[in-house]
Order: sequence, then structure tokens, then C-alpha cells
Amino acid sequence: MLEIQNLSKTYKNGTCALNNVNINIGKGMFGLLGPNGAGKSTLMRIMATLQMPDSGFLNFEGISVLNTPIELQKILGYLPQSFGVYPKISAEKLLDYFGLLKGISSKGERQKIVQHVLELTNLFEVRKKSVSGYSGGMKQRFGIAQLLLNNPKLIIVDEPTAGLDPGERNRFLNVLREVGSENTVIFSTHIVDDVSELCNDMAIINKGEILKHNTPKQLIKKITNKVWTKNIATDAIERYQENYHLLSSGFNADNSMNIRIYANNEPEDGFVHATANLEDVYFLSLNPNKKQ
Amino acid sequence: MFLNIFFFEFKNWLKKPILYFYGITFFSIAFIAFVGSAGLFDEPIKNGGLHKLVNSPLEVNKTIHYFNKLLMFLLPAIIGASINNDFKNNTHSILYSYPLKKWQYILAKFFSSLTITILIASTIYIAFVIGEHIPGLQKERLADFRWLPYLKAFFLFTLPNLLFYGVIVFCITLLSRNIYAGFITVILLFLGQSITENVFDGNGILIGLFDPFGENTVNFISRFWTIQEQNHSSIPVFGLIAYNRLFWFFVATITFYFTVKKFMLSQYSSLNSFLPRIKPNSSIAHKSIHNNKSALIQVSYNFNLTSQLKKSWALSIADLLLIAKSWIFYCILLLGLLVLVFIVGRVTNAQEIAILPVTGVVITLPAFFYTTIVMLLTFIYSGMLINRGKVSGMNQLIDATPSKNWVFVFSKLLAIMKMQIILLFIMMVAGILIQLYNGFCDFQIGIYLFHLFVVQFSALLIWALISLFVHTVIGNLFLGIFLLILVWLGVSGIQQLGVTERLLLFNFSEPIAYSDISGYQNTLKAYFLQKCYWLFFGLALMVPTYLFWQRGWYDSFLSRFTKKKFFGRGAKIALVCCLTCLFLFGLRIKNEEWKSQSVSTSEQNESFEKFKNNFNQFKSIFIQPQITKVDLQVAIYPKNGALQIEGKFLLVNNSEQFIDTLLIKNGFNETTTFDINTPFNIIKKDDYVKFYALKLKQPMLPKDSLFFTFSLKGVNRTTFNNKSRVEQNGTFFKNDILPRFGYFLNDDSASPSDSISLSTSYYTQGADMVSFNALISTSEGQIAIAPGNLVKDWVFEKRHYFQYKSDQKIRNSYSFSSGDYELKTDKNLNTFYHKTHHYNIDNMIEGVKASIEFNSKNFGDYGFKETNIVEFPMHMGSYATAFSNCIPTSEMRFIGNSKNSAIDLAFYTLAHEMTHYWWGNQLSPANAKGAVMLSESITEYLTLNIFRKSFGHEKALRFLKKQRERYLYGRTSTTIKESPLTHVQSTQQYLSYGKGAIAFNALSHHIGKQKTHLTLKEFFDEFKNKNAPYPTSLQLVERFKKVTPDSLQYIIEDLFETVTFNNLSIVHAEKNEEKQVLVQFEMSKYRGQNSQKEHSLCDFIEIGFYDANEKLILLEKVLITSKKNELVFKLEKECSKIILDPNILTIDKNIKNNIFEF
Repeated sequence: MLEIQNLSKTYKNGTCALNNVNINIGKGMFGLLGPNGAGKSTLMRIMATLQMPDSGFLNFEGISVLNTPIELQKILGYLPQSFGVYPKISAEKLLDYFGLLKGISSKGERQKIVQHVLELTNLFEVRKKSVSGYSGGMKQRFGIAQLLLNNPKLIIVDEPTAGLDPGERNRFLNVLREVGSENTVIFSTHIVDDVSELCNDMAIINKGEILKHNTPKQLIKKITNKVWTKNIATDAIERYQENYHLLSSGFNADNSMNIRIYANNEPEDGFVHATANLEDVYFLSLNPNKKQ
Repeated sequence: MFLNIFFFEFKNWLKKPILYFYGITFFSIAFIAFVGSAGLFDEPIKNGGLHKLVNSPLEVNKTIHYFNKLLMFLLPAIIGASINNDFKNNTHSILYSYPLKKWQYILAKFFSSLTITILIASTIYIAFVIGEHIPGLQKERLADFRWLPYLKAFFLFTLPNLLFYGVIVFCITLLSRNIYAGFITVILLFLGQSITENVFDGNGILIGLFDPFGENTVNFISRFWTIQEQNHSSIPVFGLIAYNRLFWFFVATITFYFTVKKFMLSQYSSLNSFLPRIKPNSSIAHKSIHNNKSALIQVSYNFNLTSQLKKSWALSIADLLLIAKSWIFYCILLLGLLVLVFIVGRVTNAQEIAILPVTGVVITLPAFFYTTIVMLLTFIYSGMLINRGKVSGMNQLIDATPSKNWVFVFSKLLAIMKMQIILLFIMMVAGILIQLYNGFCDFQIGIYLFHLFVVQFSALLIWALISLFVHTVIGNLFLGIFLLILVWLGVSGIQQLGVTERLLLFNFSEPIAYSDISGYQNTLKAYFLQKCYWLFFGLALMVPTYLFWQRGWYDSFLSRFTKKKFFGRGAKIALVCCLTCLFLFGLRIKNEEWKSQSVSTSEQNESFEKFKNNFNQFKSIFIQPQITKVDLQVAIYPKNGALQIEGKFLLVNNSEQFIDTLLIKNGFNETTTFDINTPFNIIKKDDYVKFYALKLKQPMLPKDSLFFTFSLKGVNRTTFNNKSRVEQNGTFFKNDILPRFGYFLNDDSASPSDSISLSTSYYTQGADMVSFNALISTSEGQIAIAPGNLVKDWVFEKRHYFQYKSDQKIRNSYSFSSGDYELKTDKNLNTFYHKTHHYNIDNMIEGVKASIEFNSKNFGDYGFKETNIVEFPMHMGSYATAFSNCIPTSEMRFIGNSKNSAIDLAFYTLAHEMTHYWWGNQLSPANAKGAVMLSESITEYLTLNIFRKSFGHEKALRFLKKQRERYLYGRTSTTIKESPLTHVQSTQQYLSYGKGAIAFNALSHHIGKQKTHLTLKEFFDEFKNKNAPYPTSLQLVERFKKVTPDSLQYIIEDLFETVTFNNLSIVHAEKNEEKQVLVQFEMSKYRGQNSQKEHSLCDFIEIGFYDANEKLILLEKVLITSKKNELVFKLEKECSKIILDPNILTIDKNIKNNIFEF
């Protein structure tokens, strides 16, 4: 269980990245959903011991993260939002290097676990190739491979699916799912589908504050029957925006528009009930106060 | 578009604080350097005279060259960085897709950053100009302010250098996309300068032409400038400087052209483009995980101290691999080794004194250069390792691993140390290979290991520590390297400003050299004291390095230092321990310094100036009693360096006048007390200079004598500024520390026609021939040697005593040696040598024997039962000298390489020195110009004859050719005006040795050897073993004139009495079937140093005819009276080569056109 209490962080330029964040995260996959600049990465870095908050308290299974970072690091797996690697070094050698850093002092054991994580992340056949030449997806899987080396109990992955093609994204999520079932996996993203496919617990964060914290199912359940949809002409969008709680809009193939609106009752003629999804929850959380 | 980008980039630069940092740094250094050398911090100069002006064109140039080199390091930091930032931030892929031409973009970036560099460079000039106008400078050191020297220095050197090498750095960075490449390029330029200096050694024009910085170009042009000229001449723009600049302009242009051409082809890194790039392999990517592997296999994790240490070790290997993988590393290494080979090769193949590549020479000669390279690599690669994570972007992964900061610090330190050790090891291998290549197999592995891995490595380790600290705290690679270079240069810089405080001079130590005999001459203690002090300083720096180790994210540079740190107990204890040791070593250094009590040279000069003014009245006192009997008891204590001499001189008034004033000069560093067996008063004394003027109560009448007794205590051996004459092994000192009589600062340049000069001997003022008796004691294991015959030796109370006595009177000059010598005895000839230095002994003995045989036949018997050759350590000189039957010979001659020398140096050296027994010891010339003609020139001529007798005509001719070269080269590199041989001064060795040998040989060739040697013998007999009056060069020449026929008198005039050159050349030659040969040749004669006027001719010239095997067919002597000549000769054999003056009887600057080949 990761407990976060009263965590605040304001940057020198005045940006308030985290504003008194309180949250408890248990075992399983936890999704942290928020738009760009919401404070996700700051929170993730603080959890991963890489940054100090201005104030607050973090505790993971009895380890005080801020005071004894090294104790957390022993059981931490961290995959940052973007990372580089030493150039011209093969995956196998780099993983061996990380194995060393993570405290596996026996060379034989290091070789064993490196081979294991390579297989697990489907990188075994390209293990001799240098990681700096990997494609985006392969590199992210390498990131997973390195975080697995110390058999982590707390895994923090920061926007791992950004920029991956659908195929790679699926493969990546599969790997993550398999390694995450027994541990605490904190997973930040701005892609709603990632969370709905993967997580048993989630939070929505914006402007440094936690807006919602619940299971995806519960969150969707709360707005069941309150999401309406309709196809409209493109030029009518402004009217709907002004008069209703517009969640999202999208173009259809015939250049008409499909809109989703949050309302307790049918807003006007032509609207039908839509199946509520996590995206609706997300948009609703970001703009909760739009009145009808 | 170009201008837009240019100004955008330019403005961007102006916003960066680092730019101002660089500017202020350069300004401050330049300002302090200028006002410092203009005497702002010094005491005013008292006496007048000529001073070097600090703002003369030449001096401005020299100072600017120093700064130009420093500016080079800005090129990668500014131009390189400007290009590199694009790659780092990946901006280039966006920018290149904009509608702008690549070359516009690239050129704009280059020129904007170049402009910035030039702006920084201009702060140096501003500092100089402001410096000239501040009050408080010494007027004697400044000329009136002029713009021109500065403008010239700027437009001839600073601007072109920045442009040329900016272009090259820019190109290399562009091609390699590697931040370090720029730095390495600059180092390569420095190496390039070293290489040109070494490859073209002896050829100043080529060195000047190819010097990358133009520094040696100016040095070459101004090499013959007198101080007057140095102060006022301006630097000529055209000529060599222009060619040098054009050459490098050409190199830069070519580099630029090919880079731009190549760059336009692709945006991918050109150097990396051939590296394999993998494409995502779909067959792998589509595999999914079927079986449940989510349960990770179990391995053990260790976080205890040993495993952390092991981790550091393993991490350092990974870091080392990074260094070992970079091609630039090998480039530097290769060039470094090349220079090393050149440096050693210069000595082992030197024409003058080629020496064997003994280990001591191979490690110490190139050590400074090579360790500087290792140090610069340390600066760069420590920065590279520390910034490696950040540069590659892997730091976030690494920082989140359970590793303590000290593990990282320690692993980087280990990696750098390993790099240094590998580089030193490579130097060792290179040294051994050089030795093997020279066929020399006496490797002293122990010396290699100690000198490289203990002595040199300790200095490098300190650099590694400070490099880690600077790079960690600064976090900016370029600034870090720049600061480290400032520290390095700053140490010598602040010394020039007068800071001599050892505790402030970072990692500084006095240069140390190794000699097989005397080891490190007691310098190691001082060296390691200083190194320990700085090592603890460096170790103390590791604590903040650990505390400020950059890990994770920081808002700003400063927040790294203000954040709460885990300043744990361990760190505190380590810091306290280091600081305590630092303090203790500092205290120890201070203590040793206090014991050494050195006097600065300026203080010393001042004291002597004062002395000259105060004691001027004694300058004219020439008549002094002469030492005629010497009785010494010398106690040498090799272990602690003590020296005690008790002595007794018998002084006799050999003059016709009575003497009531006695002038005594005692050894400068030693403590001497003296007494005389007749009452006296000290009327004036200078206890610093150790000069005493005594008034005898009873004047000495002619033939009167008195006893002078003294007791001398040598200086103690000290850690710093050791002035003790006693070494642990290989002690060697001369009688110049003993009391002397007479005013000692008189110039030795009296004319030989001046009768006053006849009264004193050139070698021993204040003494005639003396009888000599010495009892020397040394430690039990050592042998002590002095001139004279060994009467007996015995051991008493662990001291070894030697009694030396000379049966005959000797010149009043002698030396004392003590060491653990091997002894080789060949009949009456003893060689005392260091146990491994047996290489040349046989040749030396041959030389001595040949000389004794030759000279005793011509000039009379050799008066000693035995002769001693004694080796002395090379740090005391590379010469050999003769004190009667004792010939101290430098270690350099013992490790000489006869094979690589043009002549057998060991034989030559000893034959020459032995000949001095007759010419120089028995016959002592008067103290006037031309004195060395009677000693060195005659000795050199006689040695030539000994050489001819032992090795034949061919070898002797080669010897003579060397002498000719010595003369012709020597006369071009001297500042004293060339005088005729009869007026040669002691410093003009090119004249006394080089021209002397040719002159006497030519004379002897023409008038006959018999007549020559007879004349010499008569002269010798008249003056040998005699007191004043002493002979002069003019007297000998007079005798030769008497025995020389009128037709040959011109030889004496040409070679002895004037500076004369002949110009000979064969214009044409023909031969017919009757073996008749027609030779057309020209001859002209010029008298005077640089005269163009032809002198009338009535000279004999030899013409030699040779067959196809270079065998002489005919040697004909012909009389020449006009410039153009045509002669026909009848030969007996087929001729294939004609040589004009084959025996080098005239001095012809160009002898290439004296040869004609059919």
C-alpha cells in the first residue's frame, strides 16, 4: 500500500504541479489519468525518489520514501516518460549493467535474470542489437525489462504508451499486465483506453489535484444513463456547447458531427442514450461544473 | 534568412551567463598578467640598463600567443556546443525541414558562435590596453602606448587562429556529432605543434611554417634579435608568417569544403551512417507471451558494503569500456606515442651525443609531455563519464536504482584511474619497444613501475580527484573542462606573479629526474610530501562531490546546493579525517620549508648588486699571493648529506711587490671559518656573498709565504631547495666551494696583447701549480676518488679512508667523487662506473691509452702511475673534464650510443680529456681572450690525429666534417660577435673546438705534421708546469708564423687571425679516352663575418680524383690566383668523381658544389 499525504510541489516559475495531494494506492494496476501538464510526471518522479516535494509524506509498506529513498529503490521499478540509453551498447549488456546497479552481485544470476526478462519482454532475439537503434515499442519493452530486474513490488510507469502504434501498444500492455498482477503498478497516461483496458483502480488528476479516485467500473456506473448522443450538423456545435454539458464531439464520415452530452434527462429531441464509458468520466471530471 | 538566424543565435548567446563568465575570466587573467609583468606588484628597479619592454611588439606577440592557446579551448565550448545543442535537443530534425537551405542554417550558427568567441577574445586586448594606462607601473618596462602591435597580433594570429581552428572544430563536431570531438581536436592541434617541433628539429623554417598557432614562426623570425631589437622591431607581416597563415588557411578551407559537401547529402550523422541500424523485426514483435512467465525467477540481491564495492568495480569497467570504444581516444593515444617516440628518438639518435635508451632516460624525458596528455584526457573523460547519463538520457533509469551516491563517485574515480594506469602502462610498453628497437635489452622494470605507477600516477590521481569534483559541481562539460584547464595553467601563472607558497600551488612539484647513479637525488621526499598534501585535498573534495552528486531532478543549478543533503556521519568523519591529514601534511611542508630556508633569485641578485657597488675599490687589486700547496681532509657523509673539509693552503707571494691586502672569497652556500698564521684585520666583509678583505699587519714581501687554514661545513641536505653537494650515491663536487683569493667578479675578456693578463692562469686565478695531498673519508661501502695517486686506503669505525697524493705539482683544480662504484682496471687505468653502465668502458680505455701513447711521444712523459675515470650523475652535466690524472665523466657519456653517433664518442671524449693533461693541465694559458685556443683547439687537433691513427683517414675526415658543421651551425646561433680564433672566448665553443680543429689541421697539412708538432712541443716545453707569466694565443701564432713559408702565411691569416670564408665550386669537368680530365672550377675568398667583397687569391687548393669505388687515384695540390680556373690532369685510372678540397682545409659554407660526378 502506497500512502501519499499532503504532497505539494510548486516550481520556481510559479507552476503549482501538485497541490496537497492525498491518495492511497493498493495492490494491482493503478491508472493515473490526466491531461498534459496535469502534474502526473512530477507525482511519478516524486514517487520514484527522483524529485523532492516541497512538503508532504510518502510511505510504501513501511518505507518512508523521502527519508530512506534507497530502501524504496530496492523494490522499485521505474520507467520514465522518455529516456535514453548509452549509445552503441546491446540490450543484453545494458541489462547486465542495470542488474549490477540493482544489486545482483553474482554474474551468473545476473545472466539468468537478464535472459529471463529478455524473454518476458520478447526482446531475446534482438538482445545483441544496440538499444539506441530500437524502435519506440521495443525501447519501451526494454524499459520494462530493466525495471523487472530487481523483482519490484512498486512499479511506476510514466506515459509508456505515448507514441506507440496500436500493435506495439497492445503488446506493451500485455507485458505490463502480466508482470503487474502481484504488485502495485502505477501507470500514468492521458489515453483513457489504456486505463479502461488495464486498471482495477484509477485516479484522475488535473492542475495538481486529484479529481476522482475509484475503480473504473464504479466511475462508469455513476454516470450510466446520463450520457446522451446525437448526430448534428457541423455548424450547430456552438449552440450545443452553450446550452448543454458537452463531453466530447467527433466527426462522422458524412461530415456531420456526433456529440456526447452529460444530462440527467433527454436534452432535446433526437438524443439517444449512449453506453457510458471511461472517456465520458474523464471529460466530466475535467469540466464538472458546466450547467445545463 | 541567413542574417535572421545569425542574429537570433547571437542574441541567444548574449543571454547566456556563461558567456560573461568566459569574458570576465579572460579579461581578469590578461589584466593581471599584464600589470604583473609591467611591475605593478614588484619593487621598483633601482639601477638603469636595458630591460625587456612588456609592450614591445615581440613581447605583445608572445603574451598573446599564450592567450591564443587558451582561447582554443573556447572553440569546442562555444562553436562545438552551438552545433551540438541541436543534436542533443533534436531540433535539427525539425529545423532541417524548414524552408531554409542547410548551409545557410549551418553557416549562420557557425558565424554567430564564432563572433561570440571573437568577442571574448577581444576582452584580452581590452585588458591589455586598459593595463597600459593604469598608474603604478614601472616606466622602465613600458614603451609608449601604440595600437599597431595589438592590431597586428589580433589580425595576424588571434583572429586567424580562431577562424581556422573554429572551422576545423566546427567541421569535426558536425561530422561526428560528438561533443568531445571538439576538445580532442584542440588537443590534437597542440600535439601537432609538438610533432612539428620534434620532426623538424633543427630546421627552424619548417617548424615555423607548420606551427598551427604561428608561435614558433615568430620565435624563428626573432631568434637572432638582441634586446634592443626585441624592444623596438616590429613583427614582419610578409615572409614566413604570411606563408604559415596561408598554409593553415588552406587546411581549414579544404576541411570546410569537404564537410559542407558531405553534410549536404544527409542529415544523419555522417560518421555513424555506416553503422547498422535495426528495423523492428515483425516476426519477433508479433509473438505474444503464451505461457505464464510472470513469476520472475529468484535471484539474490546484495546491498552490503562488499557488494557495493564490487558494484563500483564492475561499473568502472563498464565506464572504461566507453572510453576504450571511442576512436578519438586512440587518435590521441597514437599521436601521443608518436611524440614520445620522437622525443626519445631525438636523444638516442642525436648527432652530437647519441645516448642509449636506458630506462631512466626513456621514462623521464617524455614523462612531462605524456602525463600532460593523460591529464588532459582525465579532464575530458571524467566530464564525459559524469555527464554520460545526462547526455544519453539514461540518468532517470540509473538514478532510480538502489545505489548509493558514493558507489557512483567511486566507480567514476576507479574508471579514470584505470584509464590512467592503462595509459601509463602503454607508455611503459612503448618505452620497452623503443629499447628493443634500439637493440637495448637492459630493461629496468622496477624503475618503470616505480616512476610511472608511483611517481607519475600520484600526480595524475590528484588531477582525477579534482576533475571529478569540478565536473560534478559544475555539471556543464565545457565549463568544467575550461575551469580545470584554468587551474592547471593558473598554477604556473600565479608562480610568475610571484606566488611561491607551496600550499597554494595546486598539485605542483619541482621537476624530478632519474639517474641510475644518484636515483632521484633526494627529491622524492619533497615530491611525495606535496603529493600527499594535495591528495588529501583531493580526497576532501570527494565529500562535497558525494554530497552534490547530481541525482534525479532539480529545479535549477542552485537548488542542488540548497536542498537538504544526507550529510551523514560517514561523510563527516571522512571529511574531518581528510582535513586533518591535509593540515598535518601542510604543517610538515611548512616545517621542511623552514628548515630549507631558500633565498629567492631576485634577493640574491640584489645582494650581488649591492656587493658590486660596495666592494668596487678591490676590483683593481690584481696581485695576490698564490696557492702553492694544498692539504685537505674531506669527510663525506652520503647518508645524511653532510660534508666537512679541513684544509691548509700554503700561499706564496710570487710577485715582485709586497702584498698587504688579501681578498678571500668563500663558498657561497657553505659555512667556512679561516685563519692565517700572521696577524691581520678584516677591513671589509660581506657575510652574504662571503667575501672578506684582510689587511695583513706585516705585508708579504716577494717570496714570502703564509699558511691559510680553514674549516668548511657543507650545507645540510634539505627537503626543498637541496643545496648539499653530497648525494646518497655519486657525489661529485669541485674545488669551487673552497676559499679562493682575489676579486672574483672580474671579466675574463682581457685582450691577449694586454700584459696584465699574463700574470694569471686562465683556469686557476689565485693559484699556481700546487702540490696536492688529500685524505678523503666516506661511508664504508663507497669509494672516494680525487686527483693524485692513491697512497693507501683503510676502514676505520665504519668509515672508508682514502689518501691521495700527487707526486708532481698539479693545476689548482680538482674534484672529489664518492659512490658505490664498480671498478674496471686495465693496467694502470681504473674506471669507476655505475654497475650497469659498462657499455662504453672499453672504448673509453682505448681513448685514454691512445692519447697517452700519442702525447707522451710528442710532448713528454705522462707523470702519473695511474689514471682514474670516474662517472658522475647526469644531472650535474653531460660533460667530461680532466683534473690531472682524474677524469670525471658524465653518466651521459657512459650511456652514450657509439653506434648511432657519427664518431665514437666514448673514445673521442676520453682521448680529448686525456690530452688536456698536457694542454690545459701542464700548460695553462693566460687569462685572456684566445686562452681556449691553447687548450681546446690544440687538444681537439691532437685528438683528431689520435683518431686518425686509431681509426684511419676516413673516420678522421668524418670527425673533421663534424667540426666543420659544429662551426658553421654554431656561428648562426650565437649573440656574441664572432671573433678570430686567436681571440676566442670561453663560451664560443663552436670556434674553439670546431674552427680550432680545422685551423690547426689545415696548417699542419700544409707545413707538415713534423714541423707543427715540433713547434707545439717547443712552445709546450717553454711553458709547461710554470707559474706566471702564462702563454697567450698570440705567442703561439707568432711561433707558427716563423716556421711557415711565406707562400703559406695566408693560412694563418685566414684561419687564425681573421674570419675568412672560401667559396669553391666545380663548374664543369670533362674526360677523354686518354684518361685526361679537364676541370673548370671557381674559387673566391671573403674576409669578415658577412663580407661580400672578394679577397685577392694566392692559395693552394687540393683536388682529389676518385675511381668508381671511391678510391683515391690522384690528389693534386694547385696554386690558385684567380677566380676562374681551368686545368687538365693526366690520370692513371678511370676517374668517376672529382672533389675540390677533399680534406677540408678551407672553410666553405657550401661543399655540395665541390663534388663532380661523371
